[in-house]
Amino acid sequence: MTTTTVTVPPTATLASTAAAEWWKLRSVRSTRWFLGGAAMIMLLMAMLESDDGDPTTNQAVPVAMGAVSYFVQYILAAFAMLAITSEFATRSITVTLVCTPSRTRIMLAKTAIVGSVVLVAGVLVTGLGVVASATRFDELGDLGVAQVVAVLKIGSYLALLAVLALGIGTLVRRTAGGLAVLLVLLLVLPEILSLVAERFGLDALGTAIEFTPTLAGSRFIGGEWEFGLVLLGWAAAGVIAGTWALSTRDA
Amino acid sequence: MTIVRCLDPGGYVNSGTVIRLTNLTKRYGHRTAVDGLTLELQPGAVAGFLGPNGAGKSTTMRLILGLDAPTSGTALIDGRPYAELKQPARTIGALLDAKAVHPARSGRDHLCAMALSQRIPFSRVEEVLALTGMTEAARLRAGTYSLGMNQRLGIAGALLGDPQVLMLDEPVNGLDPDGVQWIRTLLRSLASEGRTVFVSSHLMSEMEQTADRLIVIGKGRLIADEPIENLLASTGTRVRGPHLRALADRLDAALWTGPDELRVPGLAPEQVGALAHQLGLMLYELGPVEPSLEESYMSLTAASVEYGAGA
Repeated sequence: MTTTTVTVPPTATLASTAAAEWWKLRSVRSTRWFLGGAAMIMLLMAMLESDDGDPTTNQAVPVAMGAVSYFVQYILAAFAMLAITSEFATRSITVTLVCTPSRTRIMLAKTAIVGSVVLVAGVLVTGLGVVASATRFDELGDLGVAQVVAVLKIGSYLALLAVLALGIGTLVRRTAGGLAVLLVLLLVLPEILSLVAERFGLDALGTAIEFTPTLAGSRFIGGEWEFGLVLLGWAAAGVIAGTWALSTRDA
Repeated sequence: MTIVRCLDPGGYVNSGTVIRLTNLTKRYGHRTAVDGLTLELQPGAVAGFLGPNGAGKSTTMRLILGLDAPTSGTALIDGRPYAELKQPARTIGALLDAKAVHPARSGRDHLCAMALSQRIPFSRVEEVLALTGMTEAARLRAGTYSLGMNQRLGIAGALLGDPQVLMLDEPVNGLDPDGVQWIRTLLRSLASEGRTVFVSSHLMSEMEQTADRLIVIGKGRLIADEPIENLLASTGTRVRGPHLRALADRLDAALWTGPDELRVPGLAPEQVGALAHQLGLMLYELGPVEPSLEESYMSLTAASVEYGAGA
């Protein structure tokens, strides 16, 4: 059979896969619950945190940072993880893979969308917290470039953490298991390792702990830019592990 | 029924896509789900894929779609593995598991996400929704759907790319009689447009109405791959009359199936009728024994029922 006029149909690209991923996120209510929940908790913390009573210090950023390290980072990481584990739980991953057989492209598209959404949400939520607590502590006039940079750094930290969580979710596939691995990595591991390092006087181990995601995050936000690279490394490791798992294991 | 094309009708459709499985084998641990399957699916026909539950039908489809990697052998679509297709949704439309939908997402959003990933316009989403009678229900969350509605949504998804090959795993499950009739008509019309239709079922009666060709598997192995007429072909004669003793004496294969009734496997009614005439016998009834497809299927798969009672 010969065809005379050939209409070349548009070929799917990374951009079209990313568009589909964006549509998937915006079309489930849980996205709004997660992001709204993060904002509510931030506001609550900004309202409840007590005044340090020292007029010379600026309290707004530390208050927002506290809310991020206690609550917001876990909410947004869980949100990122669910972007993939919910597909495994509902088996709709098969639909995704049939539409987009390239596992690498799916992983990159999810990383781009989840990372961007959490970056924007993280900056907005943190910014909201900073403004709210500055208002409360009558520090609004003190807000300047330093605070904006801090908010952007916290947003970047949250986005990179989200990408790591997405990678872990792709590797583990189950939400509960993925969250357990994430909590061990973020909370348990640094604590245990620092106890071990202290008990046995292992300085090298003590240094290594500084490279775990949460501690590297606080040093990055605290002004040590090189720790941003450490976070980037964690995120890249997550993406690579996720791509590997998606490519080599049966769906 | 007309299938509305989503792109220029003078375009790429109807070149005829061939699916070829060669020695396809899949093992999960010690269990062999698909065992050396070799077959070819040609355009323009409905191929029924039959086998008891656990025979390897779904696994075969998953291997074709690259969801699982074969242990050995190949599954190629026009000579390429699924993962290398430039336009997967336009080449194969598949429905594997109707329930594989996020329950919180509406049917329309589910299809829109699929369409976006393939750069298929949203207008096509509305077309397939209309075609499957899901336009109204599409705004509801998929978690509220009945199994039948999920099947319709899944079929809408399979049709989205106006594909050359349609591959459906147990599509009539959960459909009401109207829905069953609808899908039969749809499959026939898609095949008549030159598409390849590959549809699985564990119900022979379903295939009897729809398929041109039957591929029967059991325990992952190919049992039969034949035009449906062959499996339905007459295999004997039933004869009834008052004095059949003489006839039974002349025919070694004859079996008494009643006090005045014989069954003669392997002989056509013409032959049995001629013999009866020769013997001067009066007959009340003479006719072919047409085994239902169900019967041939049961005898074909009897040895390979995975979870048979007492097995």
